[in-house]
Amino acid sequence: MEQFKIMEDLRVYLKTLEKWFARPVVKGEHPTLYLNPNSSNKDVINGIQRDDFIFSSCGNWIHPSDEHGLSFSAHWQHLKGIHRMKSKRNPGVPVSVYWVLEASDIPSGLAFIADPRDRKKQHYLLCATERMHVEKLREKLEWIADRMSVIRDAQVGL
Amino acid sequence: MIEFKSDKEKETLIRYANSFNDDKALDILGVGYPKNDEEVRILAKLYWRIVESSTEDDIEQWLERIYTSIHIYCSNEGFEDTWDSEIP
Repeated sequence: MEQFKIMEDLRVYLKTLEKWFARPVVKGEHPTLYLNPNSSNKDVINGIQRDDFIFSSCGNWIHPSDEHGLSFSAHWQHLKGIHRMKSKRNPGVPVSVYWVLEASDIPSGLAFIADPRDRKKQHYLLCATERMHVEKLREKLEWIADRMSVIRDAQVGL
Repeated sequence: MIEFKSDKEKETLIRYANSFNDDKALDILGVGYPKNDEEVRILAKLYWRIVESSTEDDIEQWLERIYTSIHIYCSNEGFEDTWDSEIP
């Protein structure tokens, strides 16, 4: 199991990998779904944030879009800031980094697409490329989460 | 211009800048983008102050989106080192 004690360890480790997509995840949270029972967030449907994807008006279907999706970092500079924000917002709680290689298989109907605003392609979205039921999207996101690698934050408690 | 994906991102920044009486940040948000390193720093300080002080439920998803939007602007316009240097 890889662990990082300081952010520099994390940066050095990520540099050894081929192109990757990563998300900082607070301990106790799911790598790709929003399942916090303590959250009052009414904009989460079946573990998926409403603002992350284009939902049908009934809330049961996801429409394809290459400008919407689950946010991932593809470069250290972007990852570092998001990680720091989550660490600040969750003092004393480890924030690990879950990642997947670009070369990995991901379920049909999903694709990593560079954020169209980002000329340097540091930010990617895991987009729906076809219409699907929200349950199907959830299954696919769970499938990805089960196959993500993790670099755990060992800073807290040292 | 900073391209926010959602109006709520900019609204959140403006709301907090108002509560902090951060006139400089409000001016930058009114124009729509920071024009130089100093203005990037002002915006970054606003952002990290919100991170430190907000007690709103579910603000984290918006903080993530706001960070990404400003990060992309700074990266596109050559201000990435200044934006990065303000990470506490």
